[in-house]
Amino acid sequence: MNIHAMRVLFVVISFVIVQMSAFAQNTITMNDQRIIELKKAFINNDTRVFSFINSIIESSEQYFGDKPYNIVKDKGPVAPSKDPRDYISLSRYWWPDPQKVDGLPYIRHDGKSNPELERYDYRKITELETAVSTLGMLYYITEGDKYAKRASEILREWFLDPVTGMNPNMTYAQYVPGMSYIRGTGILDGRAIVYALNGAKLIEGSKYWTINDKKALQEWVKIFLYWMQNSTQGLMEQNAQNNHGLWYDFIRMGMSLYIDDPSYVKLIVETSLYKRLDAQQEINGSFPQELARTLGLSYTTFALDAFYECSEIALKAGIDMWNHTSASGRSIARGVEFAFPYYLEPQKWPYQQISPFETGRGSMALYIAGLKLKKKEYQDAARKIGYTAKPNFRYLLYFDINN
Amino acid sequence: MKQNKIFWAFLFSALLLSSCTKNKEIISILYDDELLKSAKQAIEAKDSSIMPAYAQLKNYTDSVCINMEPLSVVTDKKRLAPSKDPRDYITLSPYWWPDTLVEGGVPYIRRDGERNPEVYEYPERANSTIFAEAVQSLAVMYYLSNDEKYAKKAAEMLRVWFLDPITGMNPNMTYSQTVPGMIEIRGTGIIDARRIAGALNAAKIIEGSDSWTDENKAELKDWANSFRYWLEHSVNGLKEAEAQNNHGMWYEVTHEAVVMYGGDYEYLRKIILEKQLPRIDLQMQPDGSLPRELERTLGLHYSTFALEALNLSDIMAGKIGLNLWEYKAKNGRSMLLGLEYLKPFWMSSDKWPHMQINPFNKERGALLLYCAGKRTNNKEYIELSNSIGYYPDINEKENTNSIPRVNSILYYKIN
Repeated sequence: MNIHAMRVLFVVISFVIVQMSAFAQNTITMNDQRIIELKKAFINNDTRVFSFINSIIESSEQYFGDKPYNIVKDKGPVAPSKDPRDYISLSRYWWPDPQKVDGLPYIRHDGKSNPELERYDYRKITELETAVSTLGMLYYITEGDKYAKRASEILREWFLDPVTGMNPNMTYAQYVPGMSYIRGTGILDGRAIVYALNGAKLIEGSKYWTINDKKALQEWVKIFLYWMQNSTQGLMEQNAQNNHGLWYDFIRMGMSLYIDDPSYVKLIVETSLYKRLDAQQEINGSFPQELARTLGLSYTTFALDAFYECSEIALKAGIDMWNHTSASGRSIARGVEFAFPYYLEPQKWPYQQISPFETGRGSMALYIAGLKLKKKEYQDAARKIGYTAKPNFRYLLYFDINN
Repeated sequence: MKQNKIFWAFLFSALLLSSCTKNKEIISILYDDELLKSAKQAIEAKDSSIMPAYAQLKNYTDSVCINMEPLSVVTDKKRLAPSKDPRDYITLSPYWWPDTLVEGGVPYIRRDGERNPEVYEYPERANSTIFAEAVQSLAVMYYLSNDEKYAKKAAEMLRVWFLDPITGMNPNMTYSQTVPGMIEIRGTGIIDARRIAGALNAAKIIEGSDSWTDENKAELKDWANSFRYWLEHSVNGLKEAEAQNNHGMWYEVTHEAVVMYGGDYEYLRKIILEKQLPRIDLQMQPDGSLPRELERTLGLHYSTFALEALNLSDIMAGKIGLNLWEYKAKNGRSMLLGLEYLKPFWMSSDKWPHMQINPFNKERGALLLYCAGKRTNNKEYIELSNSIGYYPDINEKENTNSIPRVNSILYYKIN
């Protein structure tokens, strides 16, 4: 073996070692390459991430207490089924009818959140999402076993335990007290489950999350998917003509990927999601259904978020959604183009926006679009708008935004 | 070396045996396939001992089932489940009545043996019984005659009941045998799921037909797997699995049928051996009686009913190479012991020393004796069964999982 060959071998070996310490973990919705970069940055004491991750580590103590991560203990209102294992949340913008003695059925005030939300299971499912996805990332980045152990406990408690495990449906999600017909809108709450599944993927390989645990959770997810695709509510939500339809696809794409069915992810994108893009987007890139809301810019961004999140899942199934333009000219890029000037100057938004728009959301949306579309203009605009650094992984994946 | 050879010979024969059971074609879920085959041969040979029974089944399916409007949980629905979803199966627990001392009458209170007419406000129970009978009759006629029209109708009825997006039953029985106002969740309503097992039995029988497509099959399999998940994980299911009487046994029969329809034969074996058999050890007394059934007002009926559940488990077990009639627990309990206990009372039910406030149909005993006789090669049981005979009342369907017209064909040799 000559010197040159030895050098090549050395380079290859050191490359392999670096890759091994930061192998991709195949999450559901995240850019896995960026997770690797984040881990490397942390290992290398990169100042852009180091203190933030340390403060996430510090605050992760909160996940190790006695607080239950399930919908059975400290239950607020129980679903009409009387089964505490049935998830129930309140539809956000619905309020007691002051004209009625008992306030029933509730009536809608778009854009005004009813504080009663807190009494139901929605708060808990967001806590599940945060806890499991954060612990999963901490396990991956720090390789600390305790994070995987705790994440696995929480996953079992929420999904698999025979006493506290959530039934695999959302029949009573975004429930409206007193309403006599059923709706599909509550399935939107299922996004939190997909993000929790990211955490389950991140602890795969740990001794605390066994093959049997994974199989049991996959089984749960399969049944939830059956419910989504066959129940009356699921079929209603499938037909939703606004962001709900997009998020419906996001949830079933994420869940299909979790049960190792990427070809079904592909099928959803090609037979459903692309059609929604055509049906929901105007030629100028706007989403008229979202413009009609009292929080028009927020909901426009929410629809774009759905496409972004779907595009990450689709990429793992071999589809590049950012390169897709429909026959009639609709595309994600066009959606960004429409929103772009208002992210820079939200005060010029010509539609309703009854609460202030969070500028950081626009900054992040532009930054990711800039990377995906290789448009420096968007990246520069994102930096100009600025993103107040926060110790959370969603932001930290794009820690280069503030370079 | 010699030991090695024995080991390999053993391994080889074990593999051969397991591949035999695997390759054996399964025709149905709830019937003894050998009986189905021999009935078919007898009909093809125009054997006079089966032709009247065949004519009866054919007449019934041709005149009633073929023209039947497909039923569903939505059909004639008057009361919705608390979910407000018409696709949720809901029935009322029959012996519960409004509490007259409470405004609104809820929670209902129990008056044993008195059937509340309000149960008829919930047509799912009757409709599921009619549906299960029709679809199995059609499927058996399809098997016996090879006439596609029967499979076509059965397939249509199965699609409407299970797969249709408007009428298809949700894969759970959360609201079966509901008690208005009751806070506690019960599992008892799962006993109604015997009809679901029967419908899956029909779907299995028509599997080869063009009218039941691969897509239909895959969709019903998904339904069955969802229902299985509910049986295994819901509060209702977990409670019913723990029931210490015939309910526990019937829970397992449904569970087994659903698992078998899903094609998970390995798990089927596991639940037969690890879940159903221990119930015999646990529920039976040394004399073969089932004390939890003896305390009922219909003691002979419920004792027989429990054994009928075990017999169905044996029929499924037989398809994967197990024989439950030959099983004997360490503590000596067995299905045969249970059969021996009941045998004299099937012969003369007036000697039954416990309660039986309605007449008992002793032909149910004839079927069990016949099955036990076949499975344990016991001629005495077969002869006893012949002496009782099987001339069923075609209206007797409420309490068993079997359909008299179909049984008359399967068990035509009894007479």
